[in-house]
Amino acid sequence: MHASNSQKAAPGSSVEALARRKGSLAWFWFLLPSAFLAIVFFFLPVLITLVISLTNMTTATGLSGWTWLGTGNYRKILANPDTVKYLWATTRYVVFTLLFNVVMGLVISLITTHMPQRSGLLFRAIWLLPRITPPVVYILMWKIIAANLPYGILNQLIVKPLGLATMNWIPEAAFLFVVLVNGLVGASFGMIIFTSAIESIPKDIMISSLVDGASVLQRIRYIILPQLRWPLLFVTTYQTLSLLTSYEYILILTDGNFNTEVWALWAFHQALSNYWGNFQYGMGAALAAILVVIGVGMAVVYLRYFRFGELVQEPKIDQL
Amino acid sequence: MKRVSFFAFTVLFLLVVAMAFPAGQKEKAAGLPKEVTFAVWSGNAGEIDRFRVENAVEAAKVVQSALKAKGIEIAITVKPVSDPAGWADYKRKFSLAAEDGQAPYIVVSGHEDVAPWAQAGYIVPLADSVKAVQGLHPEFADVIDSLWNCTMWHGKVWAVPQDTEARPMFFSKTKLKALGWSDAQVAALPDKIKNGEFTLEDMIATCKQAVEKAVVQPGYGYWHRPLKGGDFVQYYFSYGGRIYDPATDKLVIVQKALEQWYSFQRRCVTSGITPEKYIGTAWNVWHDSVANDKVLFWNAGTWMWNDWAKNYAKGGEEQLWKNIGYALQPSGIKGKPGGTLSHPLVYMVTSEKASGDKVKDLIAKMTTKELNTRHALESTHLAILKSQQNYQPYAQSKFLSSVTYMLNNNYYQPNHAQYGPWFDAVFNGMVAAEQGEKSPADAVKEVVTKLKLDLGDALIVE
Amino acid sequence: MRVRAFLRGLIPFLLIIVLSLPILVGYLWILISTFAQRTYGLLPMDADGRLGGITLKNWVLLFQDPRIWTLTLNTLFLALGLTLGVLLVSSLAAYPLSRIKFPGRKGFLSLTLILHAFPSVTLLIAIFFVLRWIAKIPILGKGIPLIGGFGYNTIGGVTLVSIALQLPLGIWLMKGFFDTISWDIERAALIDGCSRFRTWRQILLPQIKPGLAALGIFSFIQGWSSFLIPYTFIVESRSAVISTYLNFLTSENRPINYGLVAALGLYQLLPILIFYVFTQKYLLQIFSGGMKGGA
Repeated sequence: MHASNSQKAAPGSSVEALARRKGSLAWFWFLLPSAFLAIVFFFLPVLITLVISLTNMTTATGLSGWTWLGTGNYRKILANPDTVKYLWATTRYVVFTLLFNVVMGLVISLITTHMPQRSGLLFRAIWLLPRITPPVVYILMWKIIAANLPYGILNQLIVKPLGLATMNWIPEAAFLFVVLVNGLVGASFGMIIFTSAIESIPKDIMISSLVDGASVLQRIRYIILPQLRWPLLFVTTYQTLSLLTSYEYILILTDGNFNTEVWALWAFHQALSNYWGNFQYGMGAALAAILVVIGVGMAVVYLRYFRFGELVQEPKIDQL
Repeated sequence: MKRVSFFAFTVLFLLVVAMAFPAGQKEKAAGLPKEVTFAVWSGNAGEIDRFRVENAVEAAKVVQSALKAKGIEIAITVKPVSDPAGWADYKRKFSLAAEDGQAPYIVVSGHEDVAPWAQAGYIVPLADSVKAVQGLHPEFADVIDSLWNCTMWHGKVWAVPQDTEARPMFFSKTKLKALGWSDAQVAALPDKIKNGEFTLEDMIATCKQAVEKAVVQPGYGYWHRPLKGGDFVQYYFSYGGRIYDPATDKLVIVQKALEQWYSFQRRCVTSGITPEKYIGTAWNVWHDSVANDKVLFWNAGTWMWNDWAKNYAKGGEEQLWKNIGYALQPSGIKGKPGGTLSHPLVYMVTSEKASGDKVKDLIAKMTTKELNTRHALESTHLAILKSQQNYQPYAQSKFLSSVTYMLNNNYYQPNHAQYGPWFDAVFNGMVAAEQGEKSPADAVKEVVTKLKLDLGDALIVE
Repeated sequence: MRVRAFLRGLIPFLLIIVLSLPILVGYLWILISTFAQRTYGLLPMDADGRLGGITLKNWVLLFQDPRIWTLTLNTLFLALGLTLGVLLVSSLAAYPLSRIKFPGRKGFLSLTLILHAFPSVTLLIAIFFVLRWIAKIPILGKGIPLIGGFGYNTIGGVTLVSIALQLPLGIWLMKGFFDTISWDIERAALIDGCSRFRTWRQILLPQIKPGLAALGIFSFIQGWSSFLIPYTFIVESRSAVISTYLNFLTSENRPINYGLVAALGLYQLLPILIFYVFTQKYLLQIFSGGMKGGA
């Protein structure tokens, strides 16, 4: 380690050599733990799952008594009369919940950054509650909100006083509830991201724009929103993938009834929760495989379309 | 200094993680015949059904002293495990443990697991026939004969019944009287259902009358379970359907019975006695309504009685006795006797190595009227032994003893590895028909298509 | 003039209260039901259906159950272990991804984002295969004292799986924070002869303490509420966590005590809320870090 103690080295020569030497294999060791974990516990299982989807593996066959089916499971999925229905339910669910998540996240972050800091903090904490509540309790709360009299809150506080007919609201508007339930959880993701982006805008720009005569709304439009371009794209991408693979809240809320069975829930029902215990691993794997292909496809589209390359700048030190 | 603290930190991290769970201990097979350890698992278990596995502790003592009397010195230890996780997670955990050779020697689960687990090789047969198993121990001979039906697969006996229940049709005596029924008529209803004189059609008519006369609110005439469950196939049976053909070991779908069942469910909605979008109602709402006499007829399980008495009925159990009666499920065809579905839990054995006969001894000693009654009373399940019905503590429980007669008219879901997919397809079809998404005829057609897709050869279509 | 300003200042409050109504009402119900025998809507009721029935019984029941302490301890250790592991692995990986040029850099970054498209729960059986193969490796598989090893039915195995599933978020977050550190500090350290590792540990990590705290909180939340992985892959049933117990309390074929369920739910979320309130300042920065690709 020949440390040259001069502040700046002559361009080229020793510092570059230094950097090159130091940079040569260090990255490998840093990356090793995560690369190892990602390959062994992520990629490998995915490959295995794909292989399982080509078999008829179930509880009854055990993990060694199965036989090859080739594309059998996939053909069954195509021939199933419900497949299109589930695809459609999934599309509706992802699109509308994504809209809710992003828009609400944005709105909440804008509102809470335009009030005293402590109040903003309080309201953001309130909006974080759905995300940190155990799903069973969170859904129980929603069921009570929607339930019929005398148990239901919505009926007790709004519907009856207005003189309208009371009923259990979940079957009536199942899709709406599914979007709301998931949306309230998802909105806090965007809320936190956008809030930090807003708060990192230099204070002097924020203040001077108002001094210069811009209204609050104009400031939002011309100063704040442009700063949120990248956060918006990241949140949209990340949450699309999250929504595609989510099913837990829907499972507990409606169990897929009333046309709310999304693809991920169907996969879960098939592979992991068959009511009388004979789990259909092969079929569930095929369903998950299709989901993964869709998800990866969408991720690639997002990355290309939103110019991902700009998100990843070149490291500067190697370019001394 | 920093380097030291970094490594200390890493070691500390490992220690923290390690302290989280005690390292799993494998069950040792009895290498020396001097000591044997059995683990007994049960799922979805808590305070009230702990006896499923804890009975093994007493039984072990009995077996141990019996062996000692014969001059064999063996120390038998039991590890009872009441797993609180849900059934699906528990069964999956068991399957994986079995794959890795870590399964407990005795496992409790629903009888429907006999077929898949036997096929996978996770469990071993106990005897070659019912007669054979009854000959093994007097306790086994004491088990109610029909219960052995649910432990058979491919001709052999694979399990021992642990407990059972029934799913009666409950009705409100007070509301029937408000309709104009006399006390005698109300008292005679269970028998009429049993003989097939009071059918599902009569039930619909009675409920319609009740709604018209405002004895019940619209939509409160007949309530079934608000969630998926085995109860629903009772109506498939009521209309003469059958699920399993023992001669060919295949599942069956009887289209006529299926369609009649689906249209029955739809008619309940169109007659205004059942709400249309009813599936998905929260359980506490459901229990509160039926226990407080708001509904005329409803399906429930015998295990719910205690729950109603303790947590929902405003006057406690007395109010239940005053207002509520129960009977078998009415049939759909006049003259066909009513019936009910039972879903017993069973003990299964996972390994030949499990000291062969000793395991069966242990199970036999868990299946005594004393131990089983203590479980039955605590968790509100029904008797499985013939001698239990006259056994004092059991006979003293008014509800349990008065409902046990239903076990003479009950049936079980079949032990077939593909039953799960059969049930899922049929249940989803029923929901579609009931909610009016499809006509009953269309729903049947689609269900048959799906069944053929899922089950292939294992299905007979009638 | 002042009145107008005051009224204008009220607008955000009104807006957000209206928007937050479902949450406010819902959680009010949860709170009330932990102190009531039963509820009709928002009103607490007693056993006979009259207004009233306020009771501490649910909370007493919760804390009287001896299991609650084992469950809490198990959950705590799992959450802490997971958090430390995720922080370590992610911050190690994010450094080269942010600051060092090497082949496959962009590819690895895109791949970590795409990993998020995999529904982890359907990978359970496949993960079982992997864990079983690992268990066959001598020593590493099953022979390490205390943690048992890294294969099936070991604490080490469960921890590794849990950490792996958190990687997509962890790597992207940490990378974002590394991106915000000025090049000059690092340049100076390298010129002075520090190895990459030492630079990372002594110079860069302290700069991103808020990021570490933030990722820590999210991992902690994940670990605190995790259930499926530890339950499925450890045979010894004493590995139950709070979530297991909660699921069990609400299963169908038994009486459900809704007050107790609500109490347990509140009990489970309170520690997280406490963490959040304390570290809000840091939490805000996480995603801001993940956002900027550049300096």
